[in-house]
Amino acid sequence: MFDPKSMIDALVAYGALEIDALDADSGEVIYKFTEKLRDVFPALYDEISDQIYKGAMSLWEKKLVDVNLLDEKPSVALTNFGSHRENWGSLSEGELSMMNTLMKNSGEGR
Amino acid sequence: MEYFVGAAITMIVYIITNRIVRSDLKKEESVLQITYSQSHIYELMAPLLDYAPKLEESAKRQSNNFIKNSYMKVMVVKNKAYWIKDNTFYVADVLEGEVVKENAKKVDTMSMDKVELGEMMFIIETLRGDNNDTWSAGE
Repeated sequence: MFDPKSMIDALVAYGALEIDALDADSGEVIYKFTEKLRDVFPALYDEISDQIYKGAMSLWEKKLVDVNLLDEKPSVALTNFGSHRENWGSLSEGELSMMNTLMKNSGEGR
Repeated sequence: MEYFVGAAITMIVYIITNRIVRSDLKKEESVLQITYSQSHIYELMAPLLDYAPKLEESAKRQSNNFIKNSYMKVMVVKNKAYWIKDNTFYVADVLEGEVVKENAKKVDTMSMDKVELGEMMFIIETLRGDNNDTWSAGE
């Protein structure tokens, strides 16, 4: 039987998943995947990569991010419009995670 | 002379355009490291059940390495020792300055209130940070 908790423990033990922080509201542990996921669980890596791509495109359509796919290392960056939370509207959980990560990385809070 | 004026205008237009475009980008991120809650990861993994590798047994063997390692970064707060090993957050009692490793367990954040969670977040950030003052023998 599929036990997601055991799978998370295993991914952490393999270094494919890292603890990033704790959610102050829900108390849930917040994780971050590493590049090792590609070797450890390729199907999940592909799914996440696909979600990130689709999420970035969706956010770009909403003018919240700029996406540069032409660079050697494709990049995603907040637009000025996207850096104001009141402009986010209703986002999916994946989109929200992406926006929160971009905000955190741009030094504008968590 | 006309060529010089033309080149100067082109250069000015290029600089102004470049500044406008750059000001619209808060920060370029070459690697987007998205964070995920446990429940979100469950959702992501659920449809991939058939493709999940057999990881559990190997993971258990790896967790045994935890006992064998000699040193780790430990933080002692209110007679409790906290450390992160294999990306898991552990806690154990401290008696007379010694970590009682036999009762070490994973920190259960689900049953904590906001104050306790705040403390845990501080401890995790300290353990993950650059403060090396708390390096000590784990055995």
